[in-house]
Amino acid sequence: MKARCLAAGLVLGAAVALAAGCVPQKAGTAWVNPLETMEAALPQDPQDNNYILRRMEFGHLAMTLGSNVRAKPRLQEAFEQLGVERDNTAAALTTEQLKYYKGETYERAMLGCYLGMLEYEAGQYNNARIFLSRALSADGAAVVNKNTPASYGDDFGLAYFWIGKTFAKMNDADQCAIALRKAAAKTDRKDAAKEVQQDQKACEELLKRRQEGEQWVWRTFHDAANKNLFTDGITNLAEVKATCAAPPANLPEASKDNPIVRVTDKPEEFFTPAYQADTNLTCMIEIGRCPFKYLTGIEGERTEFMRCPVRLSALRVYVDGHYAGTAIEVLDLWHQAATQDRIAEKDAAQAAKGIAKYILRNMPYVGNAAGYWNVSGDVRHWTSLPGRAYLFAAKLTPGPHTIRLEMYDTAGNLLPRLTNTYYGMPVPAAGEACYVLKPWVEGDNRVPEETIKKALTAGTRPGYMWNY
Amino acid sequence: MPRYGLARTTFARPARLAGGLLMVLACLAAAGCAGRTARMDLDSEDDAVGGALGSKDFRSACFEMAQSMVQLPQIQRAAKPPTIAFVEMENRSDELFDADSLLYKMRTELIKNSAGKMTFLDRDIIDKIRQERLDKDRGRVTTSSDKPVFGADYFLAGRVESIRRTRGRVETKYMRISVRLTDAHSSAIVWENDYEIKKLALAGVYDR
Repeated sequence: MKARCLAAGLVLGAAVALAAGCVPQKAGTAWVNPLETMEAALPQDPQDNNYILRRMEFGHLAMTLGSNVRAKPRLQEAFEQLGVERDNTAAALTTEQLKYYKGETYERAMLGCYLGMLEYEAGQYNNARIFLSRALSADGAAVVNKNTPASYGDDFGLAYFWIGKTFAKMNDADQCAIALRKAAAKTDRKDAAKEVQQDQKACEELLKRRQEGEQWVWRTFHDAANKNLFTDGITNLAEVKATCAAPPANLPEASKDNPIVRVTDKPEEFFTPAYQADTNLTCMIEIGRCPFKYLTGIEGERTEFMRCPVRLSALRVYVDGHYAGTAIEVLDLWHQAATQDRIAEKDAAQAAKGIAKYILRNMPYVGNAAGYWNVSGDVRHWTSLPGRAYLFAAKLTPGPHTIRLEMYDTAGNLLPRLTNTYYGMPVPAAGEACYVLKPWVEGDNRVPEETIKKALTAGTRPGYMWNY
Repeated sequence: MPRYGLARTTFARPARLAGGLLMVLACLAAAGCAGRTARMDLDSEDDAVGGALGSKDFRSACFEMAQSMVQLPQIQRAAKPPTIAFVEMENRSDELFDADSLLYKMRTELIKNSAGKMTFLDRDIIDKIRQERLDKDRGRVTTSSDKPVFGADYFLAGRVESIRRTRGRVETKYMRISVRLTDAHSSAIVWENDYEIKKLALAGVYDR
């Protein structure tokens, strides 16, 4: 009896241990580097429906935090799975969320762009060309219908810009010129003007509310009588007003020597091989949030895109306090989503499921069971993508520089809480430096200026300079 | 009454059933966690895993090029076997792969099928060869012959190009692999051949 119980206990213990061994182990160094924890939690099976999506998100986040060594292999793993055929029968019969997620056309194009940029920064220009070519091919899949302008499948300006720079490095001047010209080209969309008007109206209303909010912050946190809430050294942002209509000027703290050797914000000059060959600093600035998806239709079977307003009309750049012009918009992901044709066969299949479920739900006997049939669309998307991408490129004197980004809304008013300053950005004496900057709300509201000055004097550099 | 008489009659059978089920579940879990590898035919299609160049086309391209090159009059009628060195295989396609591997596979096919009518130079390890010769000259290592390092009569180089067109769910991929043999003295291209592939891919309805 005892032997039998012991044997049963051993078998049970072995079974539990075996099952536990199949569960991914938690990383033990989360407190050191959160990217390690995220990386450990990525699905390992390439057949996992979220394999590509999770790697896209992780790779982009790692790039934003400056960890290219972690970003590149994961993004490459996602890229390799894009062309593999997958069985989506389950998604065809039930919820679309069971499908193997490969991304929208602009998401695949962004994946190619990020990989291309990483290879470009590493000096692997042929690999960069390959990934950027594939990004442009992915954009081509956006046009399905004969009546859709072909230009909608050939307008991924960000990929054209980087492939232009890549061709320049490969001494292919003709291809470089063509690619840069295409990067500068804009395609029209009939709702674009209406959206700008809506944004301008919304910005005027938001300005009033913002001013009220800033007044409240100042009254609440700068009242010397209230010792519990009083915060010394804060700025009254209700009094920080500027418009992009006013002529730009250097900042009060501008350095004595102007570090800017050459800069332009005119697209006709910016997107030329001669100008790009002369620059030694290129910044890609990611603003806002990509379009998100929501469900519609009688049973939530249809997926639609919604615009995440990026109420930005101008992005002014200052280098060491000296005005360096405005950054140039090169990509609008809402435009990409809005001009992407729908797949008629998929819409038809989803609609058929929605109608069938609606009918069955209203029938006797099967109505209850039909209620459990999930026919919903798929709202998964690459959440960390920006709404728009801007470019700034200049020739600066070599050495570390402070780059400040100021943003103005569609009505032309300064958005002070979106001002972001990047300290100690190194520009080399030979070659060029390329950075991806992702300004945050309250970007400058983090560490006091005095602390930053001390850190720079001690020799620290921004975190995204390290390769970790 | 036995000590566990009640347990034996009332719970023994369900307990054995539960234990058996647990064992089965554990085995299934173990089986589900295991990967699987199986041999495949070298010439089987890779279309399901994407890409324009699969192993079948890779092998066919190298074999056909080698067969074509071996028939050259400059090779067949040469008084002594001409010496051939690799330059590079340039990848100008939009596929990420090691293009030099095409030249290496061609070399293997040529050496296997040329019956000694060609001599390939191993320039990959030329630095090691030079060091070995130096050591032999200085008496540091033994030497059994005094052969010169061969110069190349011909260079073998190539290029891979592709055109990819996408519209909606349809994608066409065209790839061209070209290899040329160049006279190392006169720079004349004495031979060139190409291998072309075109594939049509239709993305699944739920791929987007």
